[in-house]
Amino acid sequence: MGRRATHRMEFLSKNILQSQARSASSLFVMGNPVVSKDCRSLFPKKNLLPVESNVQQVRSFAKAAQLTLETIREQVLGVCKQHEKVDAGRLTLNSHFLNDLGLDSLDHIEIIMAIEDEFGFEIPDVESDRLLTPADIAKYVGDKKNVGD
Amino acid sequence: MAQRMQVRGLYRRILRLGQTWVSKSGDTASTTAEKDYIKKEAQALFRKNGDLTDSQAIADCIREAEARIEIALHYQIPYPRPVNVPPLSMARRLGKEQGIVQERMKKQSKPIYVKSFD
Repeated sequence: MGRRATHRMEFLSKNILQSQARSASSLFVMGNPVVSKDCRSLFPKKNLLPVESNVQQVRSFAKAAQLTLETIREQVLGVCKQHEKVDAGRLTLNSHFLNDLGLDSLDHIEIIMAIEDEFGFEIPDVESDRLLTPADIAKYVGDKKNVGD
Repeated sequence: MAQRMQVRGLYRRILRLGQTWVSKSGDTASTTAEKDYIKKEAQALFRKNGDLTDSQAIADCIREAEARIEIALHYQIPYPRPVNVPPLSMARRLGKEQGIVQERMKKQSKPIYVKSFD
């Protein structure tokens, strides 16, 4: 984890400790405070969490999922399989739409439109002429979305 | 080549219209039916005329598609607009041959947007 992340973790852990301390000192049962005699046990000298933490990064709702070339390829294949005329058994990353899968240019247009809907950006006609295999499409989408390899 | 690009653009345009189509009556049953109709009709007609080579015939088909798009958008009805039989002619009786004059009159008065229908 980077320095900023550990700093954030320390900040969080400090806040947790302080809130625990506050809650501990405000605990009253029948008018008598219930608190440990030694509050200093709540403030250990060392950090609670180790620097190299196993905590997974939580995905926030506003940010989109991280795109990698692998996920793009899977999405492209999924979209191609959903088309009625595509034979899912024969579909591979390098199968040519017109030559291998026996589709015609209108089916190709429909597939490109489905890809546009899936990834949310327009693909002009000039460029969609070259995109004749799922591998090409995945590479093109990866380039457009600036996905590192 | 330019015609090929035009045809592709028209096909895309029709399919996109079909995706966001809302029926004039507003109820969901007819909206789904009309969306389905737009898609099926486009697929069928474009494929039927896919083997044409004569550029004039292709230009006629392109005009037909554009006319149907404009009419559908204007009336909010995707189905082909019905046309009356021209005056002084009769609708064809089943099985009967039409006279030459009748045929010529109907051919002259048939608008481009019902070119694909009898």
